[in-house]
Amino acid sequence: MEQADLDLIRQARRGKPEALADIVRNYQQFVYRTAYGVLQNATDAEDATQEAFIKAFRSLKQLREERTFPTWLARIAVRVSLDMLASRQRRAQSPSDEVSAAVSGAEDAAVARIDVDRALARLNEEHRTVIVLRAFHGLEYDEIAQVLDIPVGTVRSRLHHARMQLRRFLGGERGDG
Amino acid sequence: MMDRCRDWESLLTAYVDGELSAVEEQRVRAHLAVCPACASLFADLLADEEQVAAYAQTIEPPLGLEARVVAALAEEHQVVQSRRLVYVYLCCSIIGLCALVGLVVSPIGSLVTIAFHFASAVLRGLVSIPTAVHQQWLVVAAAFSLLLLGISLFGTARLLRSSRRSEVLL
Ligand SMILES: [Zn+2]
Repeated sequence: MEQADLDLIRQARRGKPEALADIVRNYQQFVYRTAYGVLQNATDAEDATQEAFIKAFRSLKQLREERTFPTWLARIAVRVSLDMLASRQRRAQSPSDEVSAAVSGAEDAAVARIDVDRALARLNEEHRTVIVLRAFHGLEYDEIAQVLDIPVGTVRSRLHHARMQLRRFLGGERGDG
Repeated sequence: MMDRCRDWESLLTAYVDGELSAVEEQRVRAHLAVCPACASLFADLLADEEQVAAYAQTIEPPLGLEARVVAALAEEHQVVQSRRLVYVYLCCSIIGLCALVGLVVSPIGSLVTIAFHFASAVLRGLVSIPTAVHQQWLVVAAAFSLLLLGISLFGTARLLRSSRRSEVLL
Protein backbone atom coordinates (compact mmCIF):
# COMPACT_ATOMS: atom_id res chain seq x y z
CA MET A 1 0.00 0.00 0.00
CA GLU A 2 1.33 3.42 -0.96
CA GLN A 3 2.02 6.26 1.46
CA ALA A 4 -0.35 8.53 -0.48
CA ASP A 5 -3.21 6.08 0.09
CA LEU A 6 -2.40 5.87 3.79
CA ASP A 7 -2.59 9.67 4.01
CA LEU A 8 -5.91 9.65 2.17
CA ILE A 9 -7.39 7.14 4.59
CA ARG A 10 -6.17 9.19 7.55
CA GLN A 11 -7.79 12.29 6.07
CA ALA A 12 -11.03 10.42 5.38
CA ARG A 13 -11.14 9.26 9.00
CA ARG A 14 -10.82 12.88 10.07
CA GLY A 15 -13.93 13.55 7.97
CA LYS A 16 -12.40 15.26 4.95
CA PRO A 17 -14.90 14.71 2.11
CA GLU A 18 -12.43 15.19 -0.77
CA ALA A 19 -10.40 12.27 0.58
CA LEU A 20 -13.40 9.98 0.12
CA ALA A 21 -13.66 10.86 -3.57
CA ASP A 22 -9.94 10.15 -4.04
CA ILE A 23 -10.23 6.79 -2.29
CA VAL A 24 -13.17 5.88 -4.55
CA ARG A 25 -11.07 6.80 -7.58
CA ASN A 26 -8.11 4.69 -6.43
CA TYR A 27 -10.06 1.64 -5.25
CA GLN A 28 -13.14 1.46 -7.47
CA GLN A 29 -11.42 -0.97 -9.83
CA PHE A 30 -10.36 -3.21 -6.94
CA VAL A 31 -13.88 -3.28 -5.48
CA TYR A 32 -15.60 -3.63 -8.85
CA ARG A 33 -13.39 -6.56 -9.90
CA THR A 34 -14.05 -8.32 -6.60
CA ALA A 35 -17.80 -7.80 -6.94
CA TYR A 36 -17.82 -8.81 -10.59
CA GLY A 37 -15.78 -11.93 -9.86
CA VAL A 38 -18.21 -13.09 -7.20
CA LEU A 39 -21.42 -11.97 -8.89
CA GLN A 40 -20.51 -12.57 -12.55
CA ASN A 41 -22.87 -9.79 -13.60
CA ALA A 42 -21.99 -6.18 -14.51
CA THR A 43 -25.15 -4.46 -13.23
CA ASP A 44 -25.06 -6.23 -9.88
CA ALA A 45 -21.33 -5.56 -9.59
CA GLU A 46 -21.98 -1.80 -9.99
CA ASP A 47 -24.64 -1.85 -7.27
CA ALA A 48 -22.39 -3.91 -5.01
CA THR A 49 -19.48 -1.49 -5.55
CA GLN A 50 -21.61 1.47 -4.49
CA GLU A 51 -22.97 -0.34 -1.46
CA ALA A 52 -19.52 -1.55 -0.42
CA PHE A 53 -18.07 1.98 -0.45
CA ILE A 54 -21.01 3.37 1.52
CA LYS A 55 -20.66 0.61 4.12
CA ALA A 56 -16.90 1.05 4.27
CA PHE A 57 -17.00 4.79 4.89
CA ARG A 58 -19.84 4.44 7.37
CA SER A 59 -17.70 2.12 9.49
CA LEU A 60 -14.30 3.66 8.72
CA LYS A 61 -13.80 4.42 12.42
CA GLN A 62 -13.79 0.66 13.13
CA LEU A 63 -10.73 0.15 10.93
CA ARG A 64 -7.95 -0.49 13.45
CA GLU A 65 -4.92 -0.08 11.21
CA GLU A 66 -4.87 2.04 8.07
CA ARG A 67 -2.37 -0.40 6.59
CA THR A 68 -5.02 -3.14 6.44
CA PHE A 69 -7.46 -0.99 4.47
CA PRO A 70 -7.35 -3.07 1.22
CA THR A 71 -8.08 -6.37 3.00
CA TRP A 72 -10.75 -4.66 5.07
CA LEU A 73 -12.34 -3.18 1.94
CA ALA A 74 -12.16 -6.56 0.18
CA ARG A 75 -13.93 -8.13 3.15
CA ILE A 76 -16.79 -5.63 2.86
CA ALA A 77 -16.97 -6.03 -0.93
CA VAL A 78 -17.09 -9.83 -0.64
CA ARG A 79 -19.81 -9.73 2.02
CA VAL A 80 -21.96 -7.28 0.07
CA SER A 81 -21.54 -9.38 -3.08
CA LEU A 82 -22.36 -12.67 -1.35
CA ASP A 83 -25.45 -11.11 0.25
CA MET A 84 -26.51 -9.84 -3.16
CA LEU A 85 -25.89 -13.26 -4.67
CA ALA A 86 -28.06 -14.87 -2.01
CA SER A 87 -30.93 -12.45 -2.64
CA ARG A 88 -30.57 -12.93 -6.39
CA GLN A 89 -30.72 -16.71 -6.01
CA ARG A 90 -33.89 -16.23 -4.03
CA ARG A 91 -35.25 -14.38 -7.06
CA ALA A 92 -33.99 -17.38 -9.08
CA GLN A 93 -32.06 -15.78 -11.91
CA SER A 94 -29.27 -17.55 -13.70
CA PRO A 95 -25.91 -15.78 -13.67
CA SER A 96 -23.74 -14.89 -16.65
CA ASP A 97 -26.44 -15.15 -19.33
CA GLU A 98 -25.46 -11.69 -20.43
CA VAL A 99 -21.81 -12.70 -20.58
CA SER A 100 -22.18 -15.61 -22.97
CA ALA A 101 -24.54 -13.57 -25.14
CA ALA A 102 -22.43 -10.40 -25.10
CA VAL A 103 -19.18 -11.57 -26.73
CA SER A 104 -19.34 -13.83 -29.73
CA GLY A 105 -16.21 -12.63 -31.56
CA ALA A 106 -13.65 -15.24 -32.54
CA GLU A 107 -10.62 -13.43 -31.08
CA ASP A 108 -8.45 -15.62 -28.87
CA ALA A 109 -8.49 -13.19 -25.95
CA ALA A 110 -12.26 -12.90 -26.10
CA VAL A 111 -12.64 -16.69 -26.24
CA ALA A 112 -10.28 -17.13 -23.30
CA ARG A 113 -12.33 -14.57 -21.41
CA ILE A 114 -15.59 -16.36 -22.08
CA ASP A 115 -13.97 -19.64 -21.00
CA VAL A 116 -13.01 -18.17 -17.64
CA ASP A 117 -16.40 -16.50 -17.32
CA ARG A 118 -18.18 -19.81 -17.84
CA ALA A 119 -15.80 -21.74 -15.61
CA LEU A 120 -16.10 -19.23 -12.76
CA ALA A 121 -19.87 -19.17 -13.09
CA ARG A 122 -19.93 -22.96 -12.69
CA LEU A 123 -17.95 -22.86 -9.44
CA ASN A 124 -19.90 -22.57 -6.22
CA GLU A 125 -19.68 -19.17 -4.54
CA GLU A 126 -17.21 -20.31 -1.85
CA HIS A 127 -14.77 -21.58 -4.45
CA ARG A 128 -15.34 -18.59 -6.72
CA THR A 129 -14.64 -16.18 -3.87
CA VAL A 130 -11.26 -17.70 -2.94
CA ILE A 131 -10.26 -17.73 -6.61
CA VAL A 132 -11.19 -14.03 -6.89
CA LEU A 133 -9.17 -13.10 -3.81
CA ARG A 134 -6.13 -15.14 -4.82
CA ALA A 135 -5.98 -14.98 -8.63
CA PHE A 136 -7.55 -11.54 -9.13
CA HIS A 137 -5.84 -9.71 -6.31
CA GLY A 138 -2.96 -11.99 -5.29
CA LEU A 139 -3.85 -11.91 -1.59
CA GLU A 140 -1.75 -14.09 0.72
CA TYR A 141 -3.39 -17.03 2.48
CA ASP A 142 -3.49 -15.24 5.85
CA GLU A 143 -5.08 -12.20 4.21
CA ILE A 144 -7.73 -14.39 2.59
CA ALA A 145 -8.30 -15.95 6.01
CA GLN A 146 -8.94 -12.48 7.44
CA VAL A 147 -11.24 -11.47 4.61
CA LEU A 148 -13.37 -14.62 4.90
CA ASP A 149 -13.04 -15.10 8.65
CA ILE A 150 -11.80 -18.70 8.29
CA PRO A 151 -8.60 -20.48 9.41
CA VAL A 152 -5.58 -20.48 7.08
CA GLY A 153 -5.85 -24.27 6.80
CA THR A 154 -9.36 -23.90 5.43
CA VAL A 155 -8.13 -21.32 2.92
CA ARG A 156 -5.52 -23.80 1.75
CA SER A 157 -7.93 -26.71 1.28
CA ARG A 158 -10.69 -24.54 -0.17
CA LEU A 159 -8.31 -23.05 -2.73
CA HIS A 160 -7.11 -26.53 -3.62
CA HIS A 161 -10.63 -27.79 -4.29
CA ALA A 162 -11.53 -24.60 -6.15
CA ARG A 163 -8.46 -24.94 -8.37
CA MET A 164 -9.15 -28.60 -9.12
CA GLN A 165 -12.75 -27.73 -10.07
CA LEU A 166 -11.58 -24.85 -12.21
CA ARG A 167 -9.03 -27.16 -13.81
CA ARG A 168 -11.85 -29.53 -14.80
CA PHE A 169 -13.96 -26.71 -16.30
CA LEU A 170 -11.09 -24.84 -18.00
CA GLY A 171 -9.32 -28.04 -19.07
CA GLY A 172 -12.45 -29.10 -20.93
CA GLU A 173 -12.64 -25.72 -22.69
CA ARG A 174 -8.94 -25.49 -23.42
CA GLY A 175 -8.77 -29.13 -24.43
CA ASP A 176 -5.73 -30.01 -22.33
CA GLY A 177 -7.50 -31.76 -19.44
CA MET B 1 1.32 -44.82 -6.97
CA MET B 2 -2.01 -43.12 -7.80
CA ASP B 3 -2.89 -42.68 -4.13
CA ARG B 4 0.44 -41.09 -3.47
CA CYS B 5 -0.05 -38.63 -6.36
CA ARG B 6 -3.42 -37.63 -4.82
CA ASP B 7 -1.49 -36.63 -1.73
CA TRP B 8 0.92 -34.56 -3.79
CA GLU B 9 -1.98 -32.84 -5.55
CA SER B 10 -3.09 -31.08 -2.40
CA LEU B 11 0.40 -29.63 -2.03
CA LEU B 12 0.60 -28.46 -5.65
CA THR B 13 -1.90 -25.60 -5.21
CA ALA B 14 0.01 -24.19 -2.28
CA TYR B 15 3.19 -24.67 -4.30
CA VAL B 16 1.70 -22.58 -7.15
CA ASP B 17 0.95 -19.87 -4.58
CA GLY B 18 4.36 -20.05 -2.94
CA GLU B 19 2.70 -20.83 0.40
CA LEU B 20 4.68 -23.97 1.30
CA SER B 21 7.41 -24.20 3.88
CA ALA B 22 10.96 -24.51 2.55
CA VAL B 23 11.05 -28.21 3.42
CA GLU B 24 7.70 -28.96 1.74
CA GLU B 25 8.75 -26.99 -1.31
CA GLN B 26 11.92 -29.03 -1.64
CA ARG B 27 9.94 -32.29 -1.45
CA VAL B 28 7.41 -31.14 -4.06
CA ARG B 29 10.17 -30.07 -6.42
CA ALA B 30 11.82 -33.47 -6.02
CA HIS B 31 8.54 -35.27 -6.79
CA LEU B 32 7.81 -33.09 -9.85
CA ALA B 33 11.20 -34.03 -11.24
CA VAL B 34 10.30 -37.72 -11.25
CA CYS B 35 6.49 -37.73 -11.82
CA PRO B 36 5.30 -36.60 -15.27
CA ALA B 37 1.60 -36.71 -14.19
CA CYS B 38 2.11 -34.27 -11.33
CA ALA B 39 4.46 -32.13 -13.44
CA SER B 40 1.79 -31.81 -16.11
CA LEU B 41 -0.89 -30.97 -13.53
CA PHE B 42 1.42 -28.34 -12.08
CA ALA B 43 1.90 -26.78 -15.51
CA ASP B 44 -1.87 -26.74 -16.08
CA LEU B 45 -2.51 -25.12 -12.70
CA LEU B 46 0.04 -22.42 -13.50
CA ALA B 47 -1.59 -21.83 -16.89
CA ASP B 48 -5.04 -21.59 -15.26
CA GLU B 49 -3.72 -19.09 -12.76
CA GLU B 50 -2.30 -16.93 -15.55
CA GLN B 51 -5.50 -17.18 -17.56
CA VAL B 52 -7.67 -16.11 -14.62
CA ALA B 53 -5.28 -13.28 -13.71
CA ALA B 54 -5.36 -12.05 -17.34
CA TYR B 55 -9.14 -12.29 -17.27
CA ALA B 56 -9.26 -10.16 -14.10
CA GLN B 57 -7.26 -7.46 -15.89
CA THR B 58 -9.99 -7.17 -18.53
CA ILE B 59 -12.70 -6.37 -15.95
CA GLU B 60 -13.01 -2.59 -15.97
CA PRO B 61 -15.57 -0.58 -14.02
CA PRO B 62 -17.89 1.41 -16.31
CA LEU B 63 -16.98 5.10 -16.80
CA GLY B 64 -19.83 6.60 -14.79
CA LEU B 65 -19.35 4.39 -11.74
CA GLU B 66 -16.93 6.65 -9.87
CA ALA B 67 -19.26 9.68 -10.15
CA ARG B 68 -22.24 7.56 -9.16
CA VAL B 69 -20.52 6.27 -6.02
CA VAL B 70 -19.28 9.75 -5.04
CA ALA B 71 -22.81 11.15 -5.48
CA ALA B 72 -24.28 8.34 -3.38
CA LEU B 73 -21.69 9.05 -0.67
CA ALA B 74 -22.56 12.77 -0.67
CA GLU B 75 -26.24 11.93 -0.32
CA GLU B 76 -25.51 9.53 2.53
CA HIS B 77 -23.38 12.23 4.19
CA GLN B 78 -26.29 14.69 4.02
CA VAL B 79 -28.71 12.21 5.55
CA VAL B 80 -26.26 11.60 8.39
CA GLN B 81 -25.73 15.35 8.90
CA SER B 82 -29.46 16.11 9.10
CA ARG B 83 -29.96 13.23 11.52
CA ARG B 84 -27.14 14.66 13.64
CA LEU B 85 -28.86 18.07 13.57
CA VAL B 86 -32.06 16.53 14.93
CA TYR B 87 -30.06 14.93 17.74
CA VAL B 88 -28.38 18.26 18.56
CA TYR B 89 -31.78 19.97 18.64
CA LEU B 90 -33.23 17.30 20.94
CA CYS B 91 -30.22 17.46 23.27
CA CYS B 92 -30.44 21.26 23.44
CA SER B 93 -34.13 21.23 24.32
CA ILE B 94 -33.57 18.58 27.01
CA ILE B 95 -30.68 20.58 28.48
CA GLY B 96 -32.80 23.76 28.35
CA LEU B 97 -35.66 22.04 30.14
CA CYS B 98 -33.34 20.67 32.82
CA ALA B 99 -31.80 24.13 33.31
CA LEU B 100 -35.26 25.62 33.74
CA VAL B 101 -36.24 23.00 36.33
CA GLY B 102 -32.88 23.49 38.09
CA LEU B 103 -33.38 27.25 38.15
CA VAL B 104 -36.81 26.96 39.73
CA VAL B 105 -35.56 24.46 42.33
CA SER B 106 -32.33 26.38 43.20
CA PRO B 107 -32.10 29.51 45.50
CA ILE B 108 -31.99 31.72 42.39
CA GLY B 109 -35.27 30.04 41.52
CA SER B 110 -36.98 31.50 44.61
CA LEU B 111 -35.87 34.99 43.52
CA VAL B 112 -37.30 34.27 40.06
CA THR B 113 -40.55 33.09 41.65
CA ILE B 114 -40.76 36.28 43.72
CA ALA B 115 -40.19 38.41 40.60
CA PHE B 116 -42.81 36.37 38.77
CA HIS B 117 -45.32 36.84 41.62
CA PHE B 118 -44.60 40.56 41.61
CA ALA B 119 -45.13 40.87 37.84
CA SER B 120 -48.34 38.86 37.95
CA ALA B 121 -49.63 40.98 40.85
CA VAL B 122 -48.95 44.18 38.85
CA LEU B 123 -50.70 42.72 35.79
CA ARG B 124 -53.69 41.60 37.90
CA GLY B 125 -53.89 45.07 39.45
CA LEU B 126 -53.91 46.71 36.01
CA VAL B 127 -56.65 44.37 34.82
CA SER B 128 -58.79 44.98 37.94
CA ILE B 129 -58.64 48.83 37.60
CA PRO B 130 -61.67 49.17 35.29
CA THR B 131 -63.90 46.93 37.45
CA ALA B 132 -62.69 48.77 40.53
CA VAL B 133 -63.69 52.20 39.18
CA HIS B 134 -66.90 50.76 37.68
CA GLN B 135 -66.41 52.80 34.58
CA GLN B 136 -65.87 50.66 31.51
CA TRP B 137 -65.93 53.65 29.15
CA LEU B 138 -62.70 54.96 30.74
CA VAL B 139 -60.87 51.84 29.63
CA VAL B 140 -62.30 52.12 26.11
CA ALA B 141 -61.21 55.74 25.91
CA ALA B 142 -57.69 54.89 27.13
CA ALA B 143 -57.34 52.09 24.58
CA PHE B 144 -58.62 54.41 21.81
CA SER B 145 -56.17 57.16 22.69
CA LEU B 146 -53.30 54.64 22.77
CA LEU B 147 -54.32 53.49 19.27
CA LEU B 148 -54.42 57.13 18.03
CA LEU B 149 -50.98 57.76 19.51
CA GLY B 150 -49.63 54.67 17.73
CA ILE B 151 -51.03 55.70 14.36
CA SER B 152 -49.73 59.24 14.62
CA LEU B 153 -46.25 58.04 15.63
CA PHE B 154 -46.20 55.62 12.69
CA GLY B 155 -47.34 58.41 10.32
CA THR B 156 -44.66 60.80 11.53
CA ALA B 157 -42.00 58.16 11.15
CA ARG B 158 -43.03 57.46 7.55
CA LEU B 159 -43.15 61.15 6.71
CA LEU B 160 -39.66 61.66 8.10
CA ARG B 161 -38.32 58.71 6.18
CA SER B 162 -39.87 59.79 2.86
CA SER B 163 -38.62 63.36 3.26
CA ARG B 164 -35.11 62.03 3.89
CA ARG B 165 -35.34 59.88 0.77
CA SER B 166 -36.44 62.86 -1.36
CA GLU B 167 -33.47 64.83 -0.03
CA VAL B 168 -31.21 62.10 -1.27
CA LEU B 169 -32.92 62.20 -4.65
CA LEU B 170 -32.45 65.95 -4.92
ZN1 LIG C 1 2.82 -37.47 -8.82
